[in-house]
Amino acid sequence: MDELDLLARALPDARPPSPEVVARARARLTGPPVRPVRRRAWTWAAATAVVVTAAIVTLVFSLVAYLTPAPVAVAPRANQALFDLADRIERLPEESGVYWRQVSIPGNYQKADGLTYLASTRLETWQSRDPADPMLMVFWSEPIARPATAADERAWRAAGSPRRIKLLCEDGERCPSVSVTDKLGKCIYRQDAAAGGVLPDRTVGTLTMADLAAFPTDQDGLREKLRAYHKAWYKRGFKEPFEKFLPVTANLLDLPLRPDQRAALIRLLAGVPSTKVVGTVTDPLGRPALSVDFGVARHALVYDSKKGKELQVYSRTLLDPGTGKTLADVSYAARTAVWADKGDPMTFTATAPESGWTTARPTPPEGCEKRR
Amino acid sequence: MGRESISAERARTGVTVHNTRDGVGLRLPPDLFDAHFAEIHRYIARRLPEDVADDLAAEVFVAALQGHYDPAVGAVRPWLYGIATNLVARHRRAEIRRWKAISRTAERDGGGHEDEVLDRVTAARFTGPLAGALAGLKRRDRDVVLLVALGGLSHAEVGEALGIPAGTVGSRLSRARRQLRQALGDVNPLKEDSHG
Repeated sequence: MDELDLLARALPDARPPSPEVVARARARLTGPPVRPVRRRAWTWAAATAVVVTAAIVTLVFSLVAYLTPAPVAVAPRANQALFDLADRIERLPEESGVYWRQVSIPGNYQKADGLTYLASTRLETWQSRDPADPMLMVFWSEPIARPATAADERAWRAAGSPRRIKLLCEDGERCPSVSVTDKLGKCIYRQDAAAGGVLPDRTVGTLTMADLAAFPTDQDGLREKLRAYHKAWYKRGFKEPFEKFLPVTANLLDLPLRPDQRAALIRLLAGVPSTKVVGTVTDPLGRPALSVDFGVARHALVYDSKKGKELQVYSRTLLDPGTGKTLADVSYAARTAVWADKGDPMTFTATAPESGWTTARPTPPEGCEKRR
Repeated sequence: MGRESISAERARTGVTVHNTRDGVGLRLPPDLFDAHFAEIHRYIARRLPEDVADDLAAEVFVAALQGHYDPAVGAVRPWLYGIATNLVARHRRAEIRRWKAISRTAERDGGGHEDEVLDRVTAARFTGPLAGALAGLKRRDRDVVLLVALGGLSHAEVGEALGIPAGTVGSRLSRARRQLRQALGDVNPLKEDSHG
């Protein structure tokens, strides 16, 4: 494999054009010339509206501030919930183990017969503290579904607990049926001897277990450490300041940090202007979670071919209030579409509770097919 | 193709269409759209947001119809990729923003099937550095790299697509590969095959 093969594999792939896109393109070839929509006019109109609204809001708030006496009580710190979380987890005992097992459950919220289901697959990676050990990856590719909430489960039981359901596809077409079950289907695995102890997530930097273990727990030291990774990031071609890089470091909360290191990172992120605590929610696996907007522009878009548009979604990171670990990343619809209301959860990647340090040796599940 | 006809083409379609002969209006292959729309769409959608790709892929074929393909000058596939690349160039800032965003978030997409997912987990180690390096490449170098990597074009076909000599393709590719290797640090991706 050379750099170009690697490039083709590593860059995100695109989904095939929908039948509607193909039909529209074909119509442009055979029909009269179609002028593209003048989006600029909309942009100007929207920009003007925003400026006018902002001016009015500022004026009103200025008047209100002038008329209302200043509150005497001291306002709580922004993102206090994150500072509290850091305080709670800082002294938790360090986990021990030889292998870091990360169990990811990627999935979608899907609707069928008036109920919402979670359709998901499962991906496990096992990584040793010893960089010479290969990394084990196991993938269960066949999606399985379960009712999304307790209310959905009650309705599913009332409907006779159907074992297979036909989910509605995003474009309104019927998709193939999916089993409603907890039982995983067939799996495949690979042992990656070339991993070299480097963790799969390189969004912050090239990190080994030893690199992570050396992360400082004081704010100044941690900031300096992250500055070093920012320098490497800068050399990759980003000409963006350190402040733009900081929100990306929230990705480290997925990685095997010690509780005191995790607390230090959460404190640092809580002070970043783009970080906003959204509130307490339930994650896709039913666990209570602290929802946080770290301000990273995640560009996930879900295609809505019925309208010939993409559905803009926004992402939230859901943190475990007991450990500070990432429980899930969830995307939500930014507007109402044919098959989703504004604010509906759309896609997720959850971390299963069995993730963490273990002394059990990584063994591919029985019947799992080996791949190169 | 003479300089005048390139200018005329640019004026008519807003995009340079190489590989056409002045005044020669030869017929396009009848299955041109069916045979190539999906792959051209995929090439653009890997470089730009999907909604932009939907429009641009259609524009490629509109420009192709107006551009009078001449089989004597080269194959049709590189010609279409060349038009697509010229159209992508109009969205250079959007493309760079996209590579930067990918490098920052290194999409944790759980979709795809079996081997693809394992491949992606393996390759994901390099997604961030490579996307960052792409954002930093000169546009002409990035075009050459992506025509080879994403379009699967040979050096000669890239030359046809962009209207440049094969030697220039080689030198741009060599420069870009060097920058990609630098972005990967000391990692030699060739090692992967030997270890399996």
